[in-house]
Amino acid sequence: MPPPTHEQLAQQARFIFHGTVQSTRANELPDAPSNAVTVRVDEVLQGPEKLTTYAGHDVVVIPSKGERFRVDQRAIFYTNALAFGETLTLESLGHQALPAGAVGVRSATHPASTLRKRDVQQRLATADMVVVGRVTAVQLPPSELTPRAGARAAATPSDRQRRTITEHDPQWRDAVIDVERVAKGGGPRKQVVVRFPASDDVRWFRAPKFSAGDQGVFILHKTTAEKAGPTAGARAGARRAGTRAAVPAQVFTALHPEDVQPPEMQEEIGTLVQKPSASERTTVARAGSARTSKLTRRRKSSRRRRSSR
Amino acid sequence: MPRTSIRRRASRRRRRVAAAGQVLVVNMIPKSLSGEAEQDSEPSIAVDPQNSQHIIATAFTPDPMGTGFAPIFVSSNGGHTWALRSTVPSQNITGDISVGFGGGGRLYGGILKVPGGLLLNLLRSTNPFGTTPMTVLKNRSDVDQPFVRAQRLGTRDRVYVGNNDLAVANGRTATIDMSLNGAATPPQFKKVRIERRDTGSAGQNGPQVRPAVHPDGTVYAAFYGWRSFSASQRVTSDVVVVRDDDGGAGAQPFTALADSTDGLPGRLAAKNIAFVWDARLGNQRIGGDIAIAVDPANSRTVYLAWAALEASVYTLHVRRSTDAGVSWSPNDLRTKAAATNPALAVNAEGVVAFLYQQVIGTGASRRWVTTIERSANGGQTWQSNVVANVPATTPAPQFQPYIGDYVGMTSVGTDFYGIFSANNSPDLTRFPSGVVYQRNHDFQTRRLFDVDATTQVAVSIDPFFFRITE
Repeated sequence: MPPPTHEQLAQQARFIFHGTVQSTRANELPDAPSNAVTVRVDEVLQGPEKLTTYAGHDVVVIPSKGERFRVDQRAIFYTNALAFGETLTLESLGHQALPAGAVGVRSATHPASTLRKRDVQQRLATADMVVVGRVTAVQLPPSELTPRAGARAAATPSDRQRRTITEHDPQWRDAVIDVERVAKGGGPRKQVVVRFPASDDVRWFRAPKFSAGDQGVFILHKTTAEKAGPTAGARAGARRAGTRAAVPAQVFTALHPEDVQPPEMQEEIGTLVQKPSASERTTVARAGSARTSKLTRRRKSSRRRRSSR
Repeated sequence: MPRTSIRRRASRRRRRVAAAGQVLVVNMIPKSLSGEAEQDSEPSIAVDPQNSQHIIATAFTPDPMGTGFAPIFVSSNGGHTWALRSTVPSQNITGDISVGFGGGGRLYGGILKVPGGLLLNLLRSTNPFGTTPMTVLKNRSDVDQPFVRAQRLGTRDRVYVGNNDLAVANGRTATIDMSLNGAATPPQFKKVRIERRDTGSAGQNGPQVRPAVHPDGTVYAAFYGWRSFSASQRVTSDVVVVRDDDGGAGAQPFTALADSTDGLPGRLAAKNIAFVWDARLGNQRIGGDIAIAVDPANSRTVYLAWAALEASVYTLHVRRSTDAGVSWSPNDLRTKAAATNPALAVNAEGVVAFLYQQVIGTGASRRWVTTIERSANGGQTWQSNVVANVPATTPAPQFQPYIGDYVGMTSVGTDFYGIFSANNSPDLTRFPSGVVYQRNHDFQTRRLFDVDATTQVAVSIDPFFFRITE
């Protein structure tokens, strides 16, 4: 199998940085393997927002199988986190050695934006439909019209189909979106209904919430009734009552925080939909002669390595 | 035991509690995550009984990297320092999580997995300090608030997971998922329905189902036996305690304790109490609280806490039984108005600790005050330690639960170990028992800083560990 490309590594790694090996013994980490190295982060190229201030700080990198480093070696490191302690400990998926004389590597965009864009790209790749439009109404889905317990005090048997009570109740709502343009997933259409959780419970608070007038790019996934239909309680309540909970047909949802993008992103998203494999690139500025180093190590199964540790 | 020895032991305990013990409080966010500003609420804790230096904790802390696993906090030095490792098979965060240690350093976990609405996963790790993801032992849907307790008994781990199984058709949803050999491959779990009474118009029990396990095989569980649920979300309920004297191994598990009024299994420790579901106390949602703990030196002594409205105020009550749950102290040992998140633990010398979080004051000056009270004489007198006294209205909630639907506390030997969530502003006046921060901070200017030590970080809700060394 050929070694993974720069783009493949970039797709697998959450934290990518340009760094310099400080020590080939990571003394600060008592349970680190003997090949762990200490690396100074020179520039963060991709990472979550809370890690974008790591430039100038040391991290511990556990090399992938067969990967070797020497002191003062400079490279682009493709990593994921293993542990956050006194020091950040990362597992290397591979690295790209930088030639002597390279003065630096910079991301063309903010490191967190790069990661966010990658996440958007992954959502786009699995989306069943992507539309540009405006929310015109928010309403209760039919499955939520069944009453809660207590509202059926003088219950007739048919009333006993109801939602039971849990703090994780998603409080499903349907957003009606007037479609301006379909970027993915079929021909022109006037409207699409998106089911979303109105709940602020920990399970649901990150899912986008919709209000009439909201405009944007909506990245939609078809979801089964099991996930976005009546609440679990409704099903159980129906079972108790010997009735059958109303099971809706497949519905569209937008549950990931990146599933709704601002209207100004529509052009870029259109491009990403056209080229789903495109990845964010970095600009390498070199003082000396440009030389693209071959990726020296490849990523083995990350989980397998973690298991053997 | 001779009467003089008992008196001497009690006297020794009183002296120790009077000395207030040593209280260690640690902000658990590690230094390498100094930029963190998440709402790390609803904490739980497990201490390895064979090596109390090894502690695992959880909270609603998302995976900082967003890699697809949820994190746990690990400490291998008795809670002085903590690291975060993402080994829980749930997408970045869980919907609920609690943990417990069995023998041999094995950790058991119960989560609501993400994605999934109410998808219960029972988990195990043979090395929770490593980086290998936890193993899924069992999963099923329509389950709420799994609450794990485990106990090594002989060569086997007994594992009990209290939960509210909403898939039950008869409305008696309070359930214990249990295994008599959790370390087996694969372990066998069985579901035990512990509600024997009609749940009336509620049609279900409350989500809080709490087991307490004793080394002699005795297991208690406490839950709200909901009896009605009104259109205004007012719940009426009994507080029910069940017991099994052989760990649930028999043909009729958790039926050892019957109520004298109806002869049914499950002692009604409190009857016809009420509260409002999904009400607010401070910024925190409320809808019932239950805690139970058994004396490790005497399985007949058990403490129980629950919440109920008293004169329209959400109030915690603590009572004690010395006859294995048959009868309960007629009056409260402790009564705490405007309080939530009770946790109880009893140490090897019979000292009981009661942890709770109370709203003090009114309006914008309200405070969340987290207190640990201990009694060495069965609840006659109490020694109090306030571990946090922080603003109740800042930071603004990111989601519910704000500080958690529960906290955690346990004991190993004579020491108490606990965890709570609170406003993380590094202000020493807010931590009367002292506090240690790992993340970058300045106690003088009361500010938090990112890993670069210059970028200021917003105040948020953090998990705090405490240990009381008797």
